[in-house]
Amino acid sequence: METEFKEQGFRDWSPGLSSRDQLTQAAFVGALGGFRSLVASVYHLKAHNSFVKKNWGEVERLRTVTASLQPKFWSYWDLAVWDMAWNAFGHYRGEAERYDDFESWRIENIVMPTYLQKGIDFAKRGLEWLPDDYRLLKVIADIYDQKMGDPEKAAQWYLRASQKPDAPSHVYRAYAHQLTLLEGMEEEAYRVNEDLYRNSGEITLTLLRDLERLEENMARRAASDMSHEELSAAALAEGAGYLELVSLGMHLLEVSKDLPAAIDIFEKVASHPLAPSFYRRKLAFIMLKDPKQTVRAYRMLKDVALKDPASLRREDNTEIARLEARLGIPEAKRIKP
Amino acid sequence: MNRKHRVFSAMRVWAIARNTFTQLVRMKVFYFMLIFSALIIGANLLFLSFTFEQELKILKDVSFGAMSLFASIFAIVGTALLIPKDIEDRTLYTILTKPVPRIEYLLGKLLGILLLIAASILLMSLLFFTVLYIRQHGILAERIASFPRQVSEAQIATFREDIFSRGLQPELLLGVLAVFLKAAVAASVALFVSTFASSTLFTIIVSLVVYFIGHAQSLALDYYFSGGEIRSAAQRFFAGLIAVIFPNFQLFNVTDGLTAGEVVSTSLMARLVGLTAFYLTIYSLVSWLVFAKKEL
Repeated sequence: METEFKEQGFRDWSPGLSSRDQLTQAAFVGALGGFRSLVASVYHLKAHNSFVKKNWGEVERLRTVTASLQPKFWSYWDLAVWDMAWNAFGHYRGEAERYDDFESWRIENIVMPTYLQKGIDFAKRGLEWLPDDYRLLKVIADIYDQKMGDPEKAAQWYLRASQKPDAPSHVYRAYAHQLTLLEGMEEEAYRVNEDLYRNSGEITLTLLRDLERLEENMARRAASDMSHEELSAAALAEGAGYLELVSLGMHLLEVSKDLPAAIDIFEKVASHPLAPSFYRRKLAFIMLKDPKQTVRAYRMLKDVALKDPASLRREDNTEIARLEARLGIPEAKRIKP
Repeated sequence: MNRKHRVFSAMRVWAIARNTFTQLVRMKVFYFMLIFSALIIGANLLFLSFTFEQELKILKDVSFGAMSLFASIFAIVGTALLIPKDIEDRTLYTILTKPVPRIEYLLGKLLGILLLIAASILLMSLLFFTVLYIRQHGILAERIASFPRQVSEAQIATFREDIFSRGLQPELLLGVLAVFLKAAVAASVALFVSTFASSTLFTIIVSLVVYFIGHAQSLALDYYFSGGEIRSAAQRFFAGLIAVIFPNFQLFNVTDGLTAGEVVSTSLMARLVGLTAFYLTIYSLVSWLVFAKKEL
């Protein structure tokens, strides 16, 4: 019967050294005497008090106890990770600014990374108990992404998290985003991001920006590596997509400096059924380079602002405001940022 | 009219049980409800700065912890008081001089204390579930109110599912049942000890010792049979003997898992009920064997 309980996740706790050494005698007896969950809650409250006092060593010790007492409760592992990799890390970042150069260097290069590692270690220990919990995998990825700035490892952990049964779609999108930050992974990044754009049904601003940046880089590379003839042939070839047209347009714009021809090509791109909506914005800004096309460009920007405001960037507002002033657009008829 | 005397009568057992229940209630044991209420209402009010998941878990932990503690105290102390009090009041002699077999007396006493435990657990559960119900609705209202935008019906449904799935769930009833079963086994142990004990204090202390050893017995067996494998017949006999003398109370601690959101199957609970019945039978029989020979 005990084996059956263990198989179902119950009765799998025995006081390991990590908790046995750190529990008080009363708490240990309580934990053994059927009040394990209650003792864990009490230690959780103590950990919270230590967190308020910013006593990080104590927080670590108490979080180890709570997590050891109820290792199947993911929240205890998650809290431990947050206390180490976010709260303690953030606290020491503030401390580093208060000290002289050497102490500041020591905190930034020794203390702060140690707390990040402690956070990762907590999450990995939690995964031994909850191997199918995407949240613990994701929190490791978050540390690599937001704290360590290591997109390669972040991508690996986001991918692992996204493969778990309950993982929400944003975890895979986070993986896709990390890929775009990796050098040498452009093709894979484009494949994943394009697939998300075409098939996921959830087009976020980050996905749009990443896809735009990836396509722009690919087109710019082709535009500089290939001749006009080669690019024209590729754009006219059977089965050619809008990307070949973008490459040709970039070549015309940046290498041949043929603005009217570039506008002509980008008009074709913007009207291509498979081209993402951000190409309308791009076309509008290219048209702005031609003084004769200013009014048309403004109309197009206004149309984009109305129908697809997500395509516009924050910095576009200044440009648009300047343009509106130049064209003498009355206040009431201007594009609302 | 002469009615034939039966060797065993469930009606007589029931009469003793009812009487025992009344006797215990008159000891004003239900005052504990005040402490229990203060505990769970306090737990509900104190922890407002946590996430709702942690808040609800703490509320469940405190409630189940208090339920388990009170139920176990009733089981051990209440049972330990029964026979000495009957001897002191001379009620025992009045009963046993009538054609009432000693096994009926013991079963009636055990049933009486089980009724008291069941009634107290029922009251505690009602209070616990009411507070949990109110709290989870309070959390939902707070979450809707603190949402920065207008909340759609779909979002409310998501919030509700998210919060309520960690709140008042039918599985908690299994936890309540487990608390009762554990207390029932503890009561049967105390009843057995009280049949040969010389004082109430002795019964309480010995029963508490068995209670705590019972919580650690599986650990001890794991340690003794390294790896948990029992190979020889002698080892099996020894492990069985230990398991009978010291019931494995850890098996009843399903609330630890339930409060953390784990699921316990009804089949496993059914087996727990069977295990409780086994312990009640064994301890009642052994108590009878000892009590039958006891000179009063």
